[in-house]
Amino acid sequence: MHRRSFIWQGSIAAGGIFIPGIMRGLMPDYVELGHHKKRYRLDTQWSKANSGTHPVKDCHEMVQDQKGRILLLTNHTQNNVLIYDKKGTLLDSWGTEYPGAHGLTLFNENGTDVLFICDNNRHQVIKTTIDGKVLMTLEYPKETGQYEKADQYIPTETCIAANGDIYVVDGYGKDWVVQYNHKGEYIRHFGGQGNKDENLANAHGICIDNRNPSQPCLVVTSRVQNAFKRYTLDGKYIDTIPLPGAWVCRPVINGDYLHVAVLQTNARLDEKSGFVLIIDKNYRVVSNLGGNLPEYTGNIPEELYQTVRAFQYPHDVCVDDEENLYVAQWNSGQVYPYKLKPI
Amino acid sequence: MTRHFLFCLILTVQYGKAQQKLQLAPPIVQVPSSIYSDSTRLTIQFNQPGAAVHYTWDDREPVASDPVYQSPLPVNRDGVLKLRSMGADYLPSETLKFPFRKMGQPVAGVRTSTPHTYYANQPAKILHDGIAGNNNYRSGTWLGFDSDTVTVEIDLKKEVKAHKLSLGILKDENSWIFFPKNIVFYFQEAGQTNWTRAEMRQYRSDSISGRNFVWESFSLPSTKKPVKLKLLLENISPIPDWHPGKGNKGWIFIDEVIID
Repeated sequence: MHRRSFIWQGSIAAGGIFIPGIMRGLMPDYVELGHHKKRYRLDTQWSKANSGTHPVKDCHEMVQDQKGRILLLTNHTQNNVLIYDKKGTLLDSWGTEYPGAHGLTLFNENGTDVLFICDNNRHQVIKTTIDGKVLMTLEYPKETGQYEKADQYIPTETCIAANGDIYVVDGYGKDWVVQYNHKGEYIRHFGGQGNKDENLANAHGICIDNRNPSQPCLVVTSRVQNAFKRYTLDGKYIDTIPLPGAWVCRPVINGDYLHVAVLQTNARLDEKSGFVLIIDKNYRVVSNLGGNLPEYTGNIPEELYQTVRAFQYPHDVCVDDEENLYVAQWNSGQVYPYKLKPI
Repeated sequence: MTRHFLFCLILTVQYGKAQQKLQLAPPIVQVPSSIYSDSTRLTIQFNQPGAAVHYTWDDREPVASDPVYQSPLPVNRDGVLKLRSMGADYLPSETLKFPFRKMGQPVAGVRTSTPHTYYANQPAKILHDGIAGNNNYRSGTWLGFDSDTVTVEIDLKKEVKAHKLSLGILKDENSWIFFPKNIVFYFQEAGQTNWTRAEMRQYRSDSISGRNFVWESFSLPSTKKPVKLKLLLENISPIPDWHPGKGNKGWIFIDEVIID
């Protein structure tokens, strides 16, 4: 690291720094994470849910609805969906039928919020109302000719295009991206496993990147390859965004930035070595919450890794309408989501 | 009085805050192998403002007064390098240990019982390819076994007079990888067909102590002239009750034998 950038980072930004009391007098203490203009104050006690009455298992994904509420999807079948206000007060809960609840996507369908849940155990994608009434179920995609039985299909994520097309990634199955129309009718599939650029390995997440309105594209996770891969909306491969060392989960775009929870550091597998990345319009990492800020050689960053143990296995990031972040974690001791407020 | 009150108040606030420090993660370490012929080199990545990586060579846990890593470390001696990340505003990371050993004598052949298919990369070669010490059991440099016993047999070259056998063993209870329950060391001298038992060691595993690579060495009296050596490792299976994986099969991971 260059000395100049070290001094600069050390004075106004850090991968994770504790602000001690004596130098700051009696100011409230906090843990600060991130770099540059994307720095946050960590609140690990945001959730006011009672673990006795509303337990969680793995906290997989989170979204915000048009009422401003924060929805969490967990695979605990006592309450698969927990609904919070932004202060962390639990407002409601529902869902007992999703033992493999993994992916949660919200879509505003002509003014009405609907949800898409990917269930790993049921091998299905389920579309519901915001309060849990089932509207549509997508079974395993035999139309693709790639599957002989439902067990081979383990969907992890969806994203919905403005025209209602549904894209599903089979991230724990055969890594196909399957595109349907808004009625759930098969259109095409692409990606899949293999050694070509357009192939995927652990296609764990997907989103639509509209930051360049003239060229919207799909951003798909290839987690074991530590990368995102971009495709046109009709499935043509565009390019690969390498993020060495980072087991990226779902890409989440808000404003000009892509946010992504990184489950773990490649060099420290199974060691609770996760962090959260914020990536700009040019797909360059501008902040790492809990890890290093990489230097770049061309378009390839240095290896990314955890530097402070702020998170264990972060699995998703939700960005609310005030640019607060909420981080859900997998296999992290049934911990509720953390909130991070911008500084 | 007011001054004393403020001083006490600040101390109280400071003490309370000290409980909330984040722990640093350990650094990312790259080293070709923990076996060296003349020398090797260890490189560290850890870019966290306000923190540095300290190291020791004398088996102590590193403290803030120990040397700070600044550039790649040359390694040309046997010993255990210990290192961890430290910084005033953080709790220190756990300590990483890297045991280095000089390359031993060549062997005529190494055979093992059958590894698990997931961790069976070139079993005839991998135990004597001069590359060892990686803490990542998925790196392809390890042989992994979930069988009840693991056998390692070494054919010695005629010109080699062996007096010590060392085996690299990985321990990582979080990943269900345990030290064997016991290891029996055998040898055969020229003309013998039966194995002679030289030593048996027993090991206990009663807590999760982190990921560690260890060289376990067995010596022979100088009067013996072995032509073959054998280790028999007994798996801890089933995993004991104190562990979250209790009742399941445990794993043994080995990489590299060194003959001195």
